[in-house]
Amino acid sequence: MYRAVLREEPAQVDALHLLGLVAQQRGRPAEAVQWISQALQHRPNFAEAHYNLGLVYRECGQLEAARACFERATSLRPRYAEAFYNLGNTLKDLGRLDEAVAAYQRTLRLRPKFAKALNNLANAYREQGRLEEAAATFRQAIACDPSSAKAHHNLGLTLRALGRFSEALEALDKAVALASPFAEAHNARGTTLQALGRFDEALAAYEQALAQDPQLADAHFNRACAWLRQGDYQRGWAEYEWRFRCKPFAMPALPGTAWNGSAQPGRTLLLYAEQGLGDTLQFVRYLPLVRQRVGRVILACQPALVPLLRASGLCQQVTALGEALETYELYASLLSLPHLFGTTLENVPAPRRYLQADAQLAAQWRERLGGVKGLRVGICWQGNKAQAFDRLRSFALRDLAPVALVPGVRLVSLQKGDGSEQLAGLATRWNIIDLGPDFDTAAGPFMDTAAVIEQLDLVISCDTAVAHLAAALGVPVWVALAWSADYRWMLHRDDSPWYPSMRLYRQTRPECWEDVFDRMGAELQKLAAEKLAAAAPAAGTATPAEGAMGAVGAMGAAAAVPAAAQTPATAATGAMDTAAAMGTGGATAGAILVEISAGELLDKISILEIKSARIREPARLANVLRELEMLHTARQRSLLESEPLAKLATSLREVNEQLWQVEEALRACERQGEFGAPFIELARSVYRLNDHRAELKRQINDLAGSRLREEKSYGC
Amino acid sequence: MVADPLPTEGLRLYRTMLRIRRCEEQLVQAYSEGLIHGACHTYIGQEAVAAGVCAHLTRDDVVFSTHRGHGHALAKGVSARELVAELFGRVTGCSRGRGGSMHLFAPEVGLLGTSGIVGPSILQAAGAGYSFKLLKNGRVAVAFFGDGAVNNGAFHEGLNMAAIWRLPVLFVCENNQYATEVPFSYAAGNASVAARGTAYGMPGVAVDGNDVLAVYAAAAQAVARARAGEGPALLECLTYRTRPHAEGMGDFTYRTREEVESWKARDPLLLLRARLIDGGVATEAQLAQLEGEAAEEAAEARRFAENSPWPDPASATTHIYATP
Ligand SMILES: Cc1ncc(C[n+]2csc(CCOP(=O)(O)OP(=O)(O)O)c2C)c(N)n1
Repeated sequence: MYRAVLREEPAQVDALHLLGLVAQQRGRPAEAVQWISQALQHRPNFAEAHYNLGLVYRECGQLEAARACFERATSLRPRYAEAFYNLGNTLKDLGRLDEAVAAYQRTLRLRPKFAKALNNLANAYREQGRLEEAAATFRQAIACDPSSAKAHHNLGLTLRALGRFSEALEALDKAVALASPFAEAHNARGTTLQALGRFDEALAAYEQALAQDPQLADAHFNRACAWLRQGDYQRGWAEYEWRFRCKPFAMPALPGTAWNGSAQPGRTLLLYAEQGLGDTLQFVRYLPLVRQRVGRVILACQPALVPLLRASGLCQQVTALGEALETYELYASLLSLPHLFGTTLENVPAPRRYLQADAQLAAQWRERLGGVKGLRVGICWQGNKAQAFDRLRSFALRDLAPVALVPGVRLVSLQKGDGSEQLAGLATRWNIIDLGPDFDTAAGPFMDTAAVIEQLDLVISCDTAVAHLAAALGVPVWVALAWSADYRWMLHRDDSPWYPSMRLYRQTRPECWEDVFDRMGAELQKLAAEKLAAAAPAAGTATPAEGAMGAVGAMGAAAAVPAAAQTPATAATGAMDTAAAMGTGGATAGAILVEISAGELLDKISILEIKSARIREPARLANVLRELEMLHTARQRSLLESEPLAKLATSLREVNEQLWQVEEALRACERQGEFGAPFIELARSVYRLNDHRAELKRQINDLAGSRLREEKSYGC
Repeated sequence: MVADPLPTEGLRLYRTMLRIRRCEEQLVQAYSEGLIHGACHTYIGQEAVAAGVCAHLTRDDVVFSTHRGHGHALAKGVSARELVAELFGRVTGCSRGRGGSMHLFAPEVGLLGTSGIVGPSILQAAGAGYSFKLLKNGRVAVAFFGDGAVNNGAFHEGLNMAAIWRLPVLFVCENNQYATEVPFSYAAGNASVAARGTAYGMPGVAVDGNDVLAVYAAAAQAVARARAGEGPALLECLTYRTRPHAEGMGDFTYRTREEVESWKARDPLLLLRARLIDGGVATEAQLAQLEGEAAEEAAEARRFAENSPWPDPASATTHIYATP
């Protein structure tokens, strides 16, 4: 019919245009372009024709041409919502995200309830990383079309990425209720439940996803992690092999044969690292076992670990991933080794120590840190920010307050990169040792870190490479774990079958570090008091090699001494319990609570510190330490610490030390019956020192604003 | 021992206190002329507290205050104009003329509200501190309250909550010794507010609230502590209001003229002024100039208020419900 019209009137524009549309519908795009172009020759301002021509071009993938058409259409008719919408789609396909967003926004100003435009805008926001806006826009899309399972799914994924897991779960629940099968949504539900710490339900969700799509690799991988978390290593490690079919873990095809774990003497095996640095550090423990089965091992790992692992001597050859390789016949992923070795909970290869720091660097650091007294605690609070759930596993340096304030603890920052900016405000306040900007630069990444860790009594870390490194070095390490922790830390336990020197401190509430570090602080208080006591008699005699081991010994002893002291105390009067209860904040019946001045408190603390350094007998020492701990707690709770206060406290301690010496010298004179000039000089120094002491206490009281003032009756 | 803040901070603190004092005097005058509607509790005599504490706060930190809140508002950054206009009920006031003396609100400078109810500032600051802690933004919340608030349940709840969650909050009790006409010693089993800090597991410090440098030094430590994540602190500032509880009220049925006079002799502005001169930090002429500026600012604020429009009666029902 259109052709008939054209025969009558060859330049009939509408007919040309409509013929083009019919051609396009019949799948003849070239012809469609011809007809519509002709129409436009006759009527260049024909907005619909430009628009339809754009659709044809877009369909054949000629995106630039399509974009030009839509732009023309929109400039001819500024209220043309569909044209803006398709302009947005085309710009998005061209990778011009910002312009696409603008086009969608324009569309929506013209037609606010345009569900598809809302959905595409939200997806564009998501690609731009504007997650908040994406979520809000998905919600608008859902308001327009509540039955769209896809929109609910997208909303769920966005909220999950925002860490708003409960809301994400709601959206995903709706997605799976609206469409079946919808394996991806079940899988996303699983990871969301997992983030909420609802592990059993998460596993059930993965099972459901797999029932609907048995080939969904992501769900297999997630189920593997769920099984491993439960300790079901037999099924877990086998299932973990599915990761190679998941996008983030896909490896380019390698030449050679995949190793099946069998003995292949004389062959060369390429072991390659994947995922994080911590993964590599954890699984290089298998290298000695691997070497028993094959002739030669090449390890290709993250560049940052090359120097450390080269120095470890764990295998013959270490290269950086991506670098040229020598020839090999077999290959395997480092993270497949637990599977290939049939690792179960009972046979996890867990040597106390399988990495060492470079001996020379260790010696240098031993010297540099030689003057650092007290319990040396390395800290690392921030993992790689790029990791998906980093927000959950990393904590703020500030969260460490209960650890930082433990008397006798000296913090050493092991933080590199992201997160080290937090030191600015707190390094001086907490007297944190910062190892400086050239740390780990000369010898390479982790080289200084390892050498320093060997000089520490303990490392406190978030779930990141430093935790693995410390544990691999055999140094005590306490790991602060998120409510929903990584699969490898399993469930409910505070130790790890992988690392004998590791203790796990789990969050007891989602996203709350408070009690994690409170618990660490309480433990540390005991260790620090122990170290104080242990250090005094043996000061300066520890040999380098004993550095780390000595710390381990101290940790063991920490548990033992109070236990031994408990018995006589309870048997005698119960006074000990009172003291202990006060130390942790409570007061038991029979306790006498009296307000004391700040000066008196610091004076008493300094005296107990002096005693604790001199008394050896365990039961008496325990009494001193208990009271000291109690007073330290009171100090921490009641006084505003400041540099001037710390200086006064140090001076007070020095005066008391001198008084001690004078007292001992006087007693020696007494024993020898010598009451000559030296005796007189000593006796006179007592009141001089005491005057000085009173003056310091008065200054402390002034500084702290104490209500109580000690008055002296002599000398005025 | 502490680095003396006098040379570096003295003039700034003096200026803040002066601005408060001159504004309050304008308000007293205006009240007597019948230009201020509703109650008007002045801060005269207590200026050192607001000045010494707020000197450590940034715009992002927040303050919650009481019925006696003019000084806190000015020290936190509300302009004299907005304050005076608010008491005059004008639309240019910080609360658009709807709050009056006891409902000052200026979130843009971190004044999250004064309140005619005794006590809530403590809980509100704890709540703000909790949100700062969750958001990990390093901000600090301050609650100002009088001795009349410390035997309210809110004090117990707020301090305990802040202590167990180690919130970045500074609790500032301005112990001016009377809750309206009730002496604190009559109303409290333990006459020390500071001593209660320890009971809740936080430092409690008593300072001379008429000595702005002492307040400044104590607040410095408490704010640094809060910012470092080490938790809250309680500051008791011993001070005195030298005017009646509220304008228009009698004064000498519950306290003596002699007592008031003895505190006027310890006026926080006079104390600091003498130290600025004695310490060679400023000359008489410099101080006189500051004083003139503050007086002019207050007078200008009053003119501004008088010339400002009243809120439109048609808008009487707006701002009553939050718009979702
Ligand atoms: C919950 C509550 N109870 C009682 C009152 C009545 N009232 C108004 S001011 C005041 C005294 C407050 O004294 P204080 O807290 O010491 O502050 P000051 O007036 O001394 O600055 C009282 C009891 C009130 N406003 N709110």
